[in-house]
Amino acid sequence: MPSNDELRALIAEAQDGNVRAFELLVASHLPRVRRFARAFSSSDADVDDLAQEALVKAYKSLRSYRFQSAFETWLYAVVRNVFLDATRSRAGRERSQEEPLSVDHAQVPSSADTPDEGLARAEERQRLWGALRELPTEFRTAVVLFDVEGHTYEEVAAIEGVPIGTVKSRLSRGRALLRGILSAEQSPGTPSAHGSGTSSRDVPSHVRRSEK
Amino acid sequence: MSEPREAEERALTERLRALREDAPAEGFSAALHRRLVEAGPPEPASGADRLRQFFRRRAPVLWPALGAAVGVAAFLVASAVRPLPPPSPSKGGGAEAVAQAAVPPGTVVPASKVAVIKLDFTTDVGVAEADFQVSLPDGLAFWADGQELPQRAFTWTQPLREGSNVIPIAVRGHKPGRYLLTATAHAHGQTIEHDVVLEVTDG
Repeated sequence: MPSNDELRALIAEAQDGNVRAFELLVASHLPRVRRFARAFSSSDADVDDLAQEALVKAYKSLRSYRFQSAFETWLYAVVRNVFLDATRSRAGRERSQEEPLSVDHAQVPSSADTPDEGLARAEERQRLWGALRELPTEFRTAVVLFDVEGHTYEEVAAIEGVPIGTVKSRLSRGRALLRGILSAEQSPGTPSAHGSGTSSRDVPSHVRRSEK
Repeated sequence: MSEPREAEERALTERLRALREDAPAEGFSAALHRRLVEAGPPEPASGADRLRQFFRRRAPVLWPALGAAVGVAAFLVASAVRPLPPPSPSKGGGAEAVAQAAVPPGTVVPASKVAVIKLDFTTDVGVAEADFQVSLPDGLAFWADGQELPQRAFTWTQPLREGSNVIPIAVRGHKPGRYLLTATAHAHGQTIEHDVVLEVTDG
């Protein structure tokens, strides 16, 4: 991680149009931004495209960063807005069309796994991401940022621009919904939700109303 | 929360945490680089942003220059080029007179020149984020990148170091007169106020 002075210098360079400086700035965030994108693009093939779209947007908007918050907070707030816009837009709806499990995502994630273990882990990941995508966007954002990515309550609150109490409430309700979705999938006779997009199936009416 | 519910919650958060172990993306950085280059440079900032960036970037260069400029200005003032008249005690009833009497002698600058005023905010302890505001009276204008800005006031946030914090402000007067420029820094419920008198002369 660059020091504070280095960070400020990199930001100033990137604000002047230095692509390399921006790439250095976001290098450590790329895996997290990709995972965050995975929660908003139901097609695995579309994850990288959405993550890159969000990072390009952050670059283009960089001159609006005024050092009033941590750069990371600003970055994730921009990225989140792009994901939410994409989800709402026609492009977002197109992205949510069902697609089969992609080859790269189904591959064994660790060389230490046996083929069976690797497949089981890939299926588990696919099941979890599928369930996450079914959550209303505000619950999904809180659960992904806090539970998956390990941001603090304060960081999530700053990224989302809401009070910490709201973050805790969204996390609690998001987890409860997620448990419901996952257990419904495991029940006999319940159709699989793999690759099922951003539908509101199994989401109570009061939660659906809160979706933007 | 009941015990089985807690166990369920723990199990779920562990499953979610495991999603962090993601396979690296092949070609992601290269594709991102291409798109960044294609996208072109960041979009221009607003006038206010330009001024902030100007001060932020030029500050390390401006400070030594300002030190010299202030020295020259002090010399000119001491040489009685045109000393500021002291506030008249007989007119001391108004608030304006009280405010002006409280400020130190100001900078003298001809109307054809841009004045760079050095605001020095001194604090006993460092502050991570302080809110600043600078307001101009009618007759003065902010100046950045070779042009006058339409804004009458600016607010921004930046850290304050322990001790002296010098912030340069570039302004220009439209017509001769004596102007009071007010700047404040606000942090943790405390406010530091800075008043500067600028005298604009003919020429």
